Amino acid sequence: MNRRNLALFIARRLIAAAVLLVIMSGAVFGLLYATPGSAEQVLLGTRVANEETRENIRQRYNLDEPLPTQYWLWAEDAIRLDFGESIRTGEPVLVAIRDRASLSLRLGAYGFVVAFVAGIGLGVLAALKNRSGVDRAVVSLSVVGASSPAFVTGVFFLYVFAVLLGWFPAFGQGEGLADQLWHLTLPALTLAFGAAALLIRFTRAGMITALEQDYVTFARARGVSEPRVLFGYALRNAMIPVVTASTVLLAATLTGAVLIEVTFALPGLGALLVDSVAFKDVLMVQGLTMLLAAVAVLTNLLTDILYLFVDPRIRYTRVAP
Amino acid sequence: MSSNAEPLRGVDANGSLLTAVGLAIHSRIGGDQRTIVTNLDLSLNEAETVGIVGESGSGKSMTARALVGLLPTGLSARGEVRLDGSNLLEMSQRALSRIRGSEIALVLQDPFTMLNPVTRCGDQVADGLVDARGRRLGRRTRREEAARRLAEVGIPETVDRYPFELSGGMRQRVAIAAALAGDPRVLIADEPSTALDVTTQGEILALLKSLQTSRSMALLLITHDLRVAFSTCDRIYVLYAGSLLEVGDASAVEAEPLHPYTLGLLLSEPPADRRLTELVAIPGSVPAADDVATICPLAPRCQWAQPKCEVTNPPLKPVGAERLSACLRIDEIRAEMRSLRHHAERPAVVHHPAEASVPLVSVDNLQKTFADASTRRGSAPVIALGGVSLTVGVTESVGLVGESGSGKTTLARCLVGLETPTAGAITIDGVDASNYGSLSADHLRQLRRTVQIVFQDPYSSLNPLRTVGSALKEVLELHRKRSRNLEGGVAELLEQVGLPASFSRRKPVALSGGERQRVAIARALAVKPRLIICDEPVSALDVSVQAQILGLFRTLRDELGVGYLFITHDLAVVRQVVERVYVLYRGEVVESGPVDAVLDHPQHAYTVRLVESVPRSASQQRPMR
Repeated sequence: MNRRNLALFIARRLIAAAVLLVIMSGAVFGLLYATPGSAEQVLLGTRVANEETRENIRQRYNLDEPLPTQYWLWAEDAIRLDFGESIRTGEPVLVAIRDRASLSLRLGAYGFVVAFVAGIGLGVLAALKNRSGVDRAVVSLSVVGASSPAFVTGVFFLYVFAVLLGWFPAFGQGEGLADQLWHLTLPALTLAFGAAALLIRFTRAGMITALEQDYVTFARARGVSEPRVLFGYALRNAMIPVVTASTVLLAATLTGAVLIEVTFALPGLGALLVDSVAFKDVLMVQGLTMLLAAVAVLTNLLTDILYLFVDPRIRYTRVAP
Repeated sequence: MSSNAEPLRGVDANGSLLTAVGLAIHSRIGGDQRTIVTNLDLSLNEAETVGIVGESGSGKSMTARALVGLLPTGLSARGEVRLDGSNLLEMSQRALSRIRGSEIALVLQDPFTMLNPVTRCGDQVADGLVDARGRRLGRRTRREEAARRLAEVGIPETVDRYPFELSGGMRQRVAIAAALAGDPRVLIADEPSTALDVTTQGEILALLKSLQTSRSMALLLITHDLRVAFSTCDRIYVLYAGSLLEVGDASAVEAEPLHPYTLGLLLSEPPADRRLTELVAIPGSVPAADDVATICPLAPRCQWAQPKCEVTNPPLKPVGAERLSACLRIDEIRAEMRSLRHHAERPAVVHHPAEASVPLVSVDNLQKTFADASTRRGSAPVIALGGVSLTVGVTESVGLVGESGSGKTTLARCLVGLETPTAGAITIDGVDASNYGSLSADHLRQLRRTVQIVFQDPYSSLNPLRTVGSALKEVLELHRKRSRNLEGGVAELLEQVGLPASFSRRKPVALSGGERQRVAIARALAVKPRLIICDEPVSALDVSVQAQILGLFRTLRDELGVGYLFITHDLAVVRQVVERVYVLYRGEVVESGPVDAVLDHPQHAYTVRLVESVPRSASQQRPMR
């Protein structure tokens, strides 16, 4: 592959991502003005409204400046990840996010791994046993997974595994690695359920198509070992659409996580977002939204680059300037 | 092979390496069982090349799949397939997987779909390699061995390339190297050259033949092309609608076919080296095996059929030494078949119409460049036509010969305004047709009445939702507003292309490929054009149907005085239909002239290559006239 072309391709994607982030930052900044009540009142929150505090707020958030200047000053701070202080607690937004992020990250990673292993594994299984009882069972499971909202599955899992069977704790984070994993299992399963459903569908469809291709028949016709045929030939090709789908999947996981954290009373970013919205803590909401937007944009970028490595044809056609 | 030599490993008493006895293949969709192949006996000896010849629907590809135990889901095989004494049909997939590659391997037809698109060629070849204990080789050994195997097929440089970077011919070579990686004693090749360009076809067949000889391996070649079989094989099996109709030595079958179907197939495939007075075609199209299960499968299409042919499905019977035929009447009709062939193979003289003063179509220095949108890596635009000039006279038939990528289809599309040329001029009947977009409605109508086009694929060129009648009526209404009798017009058009008037109520789905192409021709004829541009009009059709359509083109020219611009890769087709020919190579005309002169005494190196790539057997290889 031509390294220069690859570098150019990645540079172009980075620029596109940056442009997208700027547009979204505009929208996020606008949240302050989209919230009912004047900006001043919103930022004042529950504090006592005397002239001094008002003046402080106007000074602190440059409310007397013209709107473009206000945005500019806000964006300058935002680049340094300074989103101001929480209206509710007075804690800097960045600190609040940092404290909560680790839990959400662990939950997300756990859920994602479970979703990938289960989704791809069951998808391959269903494709290999196409039209059998196993296939039908897996497909039914994926239909249930895709059509149940996370808070419903969460409550269901809680009731069955925590209340009825008592296998897992119903809330809390736990202490120490093993205990934490144990506490995170039900939330992660809930998170993985919907994502796995999507992955099952893509993997199964991709696998069934790939298994019918000439290259699979030809590989078998010259004695290539069955594991190599299944993984090196069929799955490798079936994964191409799955990579495309993984962006959609991540978005679904992120929105799912918000509700799951609330359901399982986990103090993560999702719970923080819900609380902040409830308290009209606009600065916190801005910070969180910007973070989520950045994650979404970066995932898209990652998908594009990943694509190059999964499908060499793209590397040669799309990368050309 | 001498008969008193030590019997070779896995060879039975008769010297056969691979045998099939009573092989039957059925498909089952829902509760509906259909026959694909019935009662097929076949044997393949050590170091022998055997051909299975048949049209689409004959069951030849499924036979190939059954022999390696890889029938698609829903299909099952019964009978015996013996290799080394064991019946492959009774083996588990696991056991079969050990035999495949090391004993028997299969190369499929389409080099564009046969290789894993996301894996380098060297790795794919190496996937079939194992060490003495059946384990995968180490990384470095794999690469070296893969390079050696690719060198054996003449393309060592492709080890680190991906399939999509290679041409069809190179991909087919990679596939052959991959199939031979485990050094099998039997190689089955299913139409290995059909998807390739003419000049590449010859190279691939020659490569297979030389590998077969150097490795003294047995080769089973599946093909629809009798001439390919004659040029490559020692023995031939002729398969039709799931039944074997004839078996014999290639040279003997070529000298005298002993079944009317073989004869028909032979005559349907016109020779490239001379023009025939009359194109003999087998009427109708290939039936489903179940529809002819209890009669001679050919009976509905056979000119010699008698009531006794419709009583049973006749088995193969010996005719003379070493020959088998399933024709009940072969002894009675043998002389007639011989004289028919003699009659049909008389060469005809090409009549050149008197030189027209003004050509109907003249193309001057036509250029067409495509932007890089679909091409890989290149920011350079693709030059499809690099300055092509040609003329077509009134009532003249002109051939445009070229392989894929030569620009022949682009030229056709420019002529009817489906593409706008980048530079150069097209004049049709005195009208400047270089840019259809700028023409007045009157001129446009005049051009449409002068020139019509018939496309390659009759399966996609007809609207599946409209009946044949309504498709034809639409054209009649547009161009013959004064005509009241549209129904009569439709019937007349259908009759001209040899279809009954009742076909006007049918939809394309109820028609065979040949019938669809007839409808497409009728649609072109509806405006009474003076020139029909035919873009590979028979290459999507079965051999026996091809000849019917070529015959139709000839008849229409004689009866209606319509001229053709015949675009094709097939020299045989060109020889039979046109008077003058242009040879197109990479967007340029490299040679032109009367068809006999160009094909008999090619001047340009590319034309020479084209002419030489036409398969011919030893008996046909006579010195150039």
